[in-house]
Amino acid sequence: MVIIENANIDDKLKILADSAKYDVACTSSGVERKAEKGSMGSTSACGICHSFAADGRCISLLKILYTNECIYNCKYCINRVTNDIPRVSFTPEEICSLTMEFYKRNYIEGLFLSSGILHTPDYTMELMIQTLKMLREDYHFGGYIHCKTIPGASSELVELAGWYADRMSINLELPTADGLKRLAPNKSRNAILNPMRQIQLGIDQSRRLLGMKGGNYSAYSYTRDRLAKKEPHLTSSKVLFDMPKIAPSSPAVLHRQSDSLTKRGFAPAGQSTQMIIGASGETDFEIMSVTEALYQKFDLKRVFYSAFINVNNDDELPSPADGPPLAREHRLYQADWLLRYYGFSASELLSDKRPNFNPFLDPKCDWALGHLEDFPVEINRADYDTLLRVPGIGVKSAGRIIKARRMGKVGFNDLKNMGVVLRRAVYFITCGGKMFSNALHIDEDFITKQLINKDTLLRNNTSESSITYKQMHLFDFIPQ
Amino acid sequence: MKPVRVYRCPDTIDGIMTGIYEAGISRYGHDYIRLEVISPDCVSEMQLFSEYIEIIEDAKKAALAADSIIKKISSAVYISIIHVLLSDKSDKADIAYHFLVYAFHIGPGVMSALQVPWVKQVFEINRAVGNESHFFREFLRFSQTDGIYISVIEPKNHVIPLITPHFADRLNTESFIIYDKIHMEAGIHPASGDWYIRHILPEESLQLEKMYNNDDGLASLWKTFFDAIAIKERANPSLQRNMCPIHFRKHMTEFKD
Repeated sequence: MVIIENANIDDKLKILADSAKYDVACTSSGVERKAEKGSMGSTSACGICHSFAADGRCISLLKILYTNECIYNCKYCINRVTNDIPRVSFTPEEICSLTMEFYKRNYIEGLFLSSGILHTPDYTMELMIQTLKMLREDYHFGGYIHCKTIPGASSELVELAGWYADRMSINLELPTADGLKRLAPNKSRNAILNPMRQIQLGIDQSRRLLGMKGGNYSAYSYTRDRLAKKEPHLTSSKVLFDMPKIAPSSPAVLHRQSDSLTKRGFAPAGQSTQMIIGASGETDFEIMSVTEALYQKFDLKRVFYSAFINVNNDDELPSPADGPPLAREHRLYQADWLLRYYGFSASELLSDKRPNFNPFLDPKCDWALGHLEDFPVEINRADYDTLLRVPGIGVKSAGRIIKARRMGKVGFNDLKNMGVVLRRAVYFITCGGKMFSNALHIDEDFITKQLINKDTLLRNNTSESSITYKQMHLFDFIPQ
Repeated sequence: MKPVRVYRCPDTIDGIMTGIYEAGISRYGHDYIRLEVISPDCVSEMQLFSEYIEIIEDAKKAALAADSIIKKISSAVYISIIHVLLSDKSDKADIAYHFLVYAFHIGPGVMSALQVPWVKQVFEINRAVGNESHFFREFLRFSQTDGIYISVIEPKNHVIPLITPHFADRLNTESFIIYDKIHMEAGIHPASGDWYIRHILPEESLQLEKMYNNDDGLASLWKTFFDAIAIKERANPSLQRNMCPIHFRKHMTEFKD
């Protein structure tokens, strides 16, 4: 290990940003907080991206490691102890002043602090907390802070970090316990799930003490609540995790209650995690089932997926010739949205027989084509959740349709303006009982071909005036 | 045949609101009324058989119009109208007026009726102006000279009134100026007081741009970070372009040089 003692700030920033870049989450969303008079920084519930790097990923936070020294030897990680790379560490002052100066120039929304493990998990966590405390209390920073939990750190330290941070996260790293054992021999599944559980209970308690300011619920739980009101008997997925030992009713998850510390709430922007995709041979179905269980059992805000890059050229790990599995990662994100906002469950999208997503069709189109018996739906009558399941209709456009049709009939010409992607939706909807012309011969092969050669239908019908209608025929929808 | 009556309004919020007020109380018949914005760089074509009325900006009349929108329709609709008036659409005054005629008829639910052409237009303009404001909350950059943080932007719409409050809140301890080079206006926030908007003169403009382009020592650190955080194996310039369009990059620190 080459430890550089007197590196300048530019070198440190280069090395410690470079080694933090594989962490996916750069979101600054989940909590709305105005600045206090005399202190700097606010947060915005929708999150604000400040730039986009050459890989097209958003830059919202100053994403750095405290140090890239590490005692662990995770096979996938560039910072593993056996790698011969230069090692540097920030000081708390350096991180605070970088954060403040970048923030004042509107470069960033706040700080994302992670770290390699220096000496012990507790030692590392203490350094991180010291930095966050200094940033909040000495530099009066009120912007966004995302803090990584170090697996194996004591629960007192995890709690303290949660009071300073807006979002906490701990990486699941690999979807299965077996994969974790093989690739990250120093990390145990429990050292990851225990703090995740602790933070979940902490957020829950903070919410009860402080109301919404203590942290709002995740999109997933809102969606499930909405559906549960309609169908109280909804099945829950099988339990994939052994529940850690803290009882959910445990009264004293949170200990420190001094006002200056609790005013922001405990991790008010919630908790997230990430998994590496394509390093340990899991199917999409396994990954989505784990994701679903995480949302259900740990009330996470987000699960992130990271296409595996074999940075260490390790022989035991895959190095696909066509680069990291980005297309697969994209499909997983699409499906993740379907779980959180659209009310799909993993078992609707995939099964043991069909364990991976279709590379040519997005998961929603793929689902709809397998369920043509549910279509077409009538735009002027279908309920919100039915509209949400139509390809080409999203959360915003479904909401607009519901509102607009109270004011009068909605036709095909109005849908585009509401944000509906007509080239996908036309095969699955009627407006006032009529289908879009040319979309009439409905069978799976035809629509699949149309969706893959996208735009062909609309290209023949581009100008609005050329839209014609035909009365829907009763037997057009019976699959042959 | 009844001649069309055209109200010509100065291109300010109060100017157009005055026009809306005058047209509204005229009882001339909405179908025969048009509102136009007088713009300095375009001589509008006068049409035959039309009657032209020059509007003189009147803060009192504008306030009366605003008041009745808020009371009889809703403050949300008023905010949508403000967004329309801040846009760069040349027919914005006419759209705002005819939308309001319909809105007074329907009431607070009017924004939902996206199948109605006037509502659709107001909705689209709101989306465009709102999106552009959000882009500048993301992408504008400050550079520090003598303790003052300066930013230069080139927006299509008048975004200064929409974005300055955001920065005045989070940077309430700092003095800053956001200068809109296209519309020659600036949002100014002194560390010790409230923010305001001011017209910028050509000689001030040069000074502001010089101060903005002055290297304050942080730019190179930011570029270091910007380059280090990208994953080479995932390079994707077209995604980067979708998310951060080229025309915003002109004044962004990390894309300069």
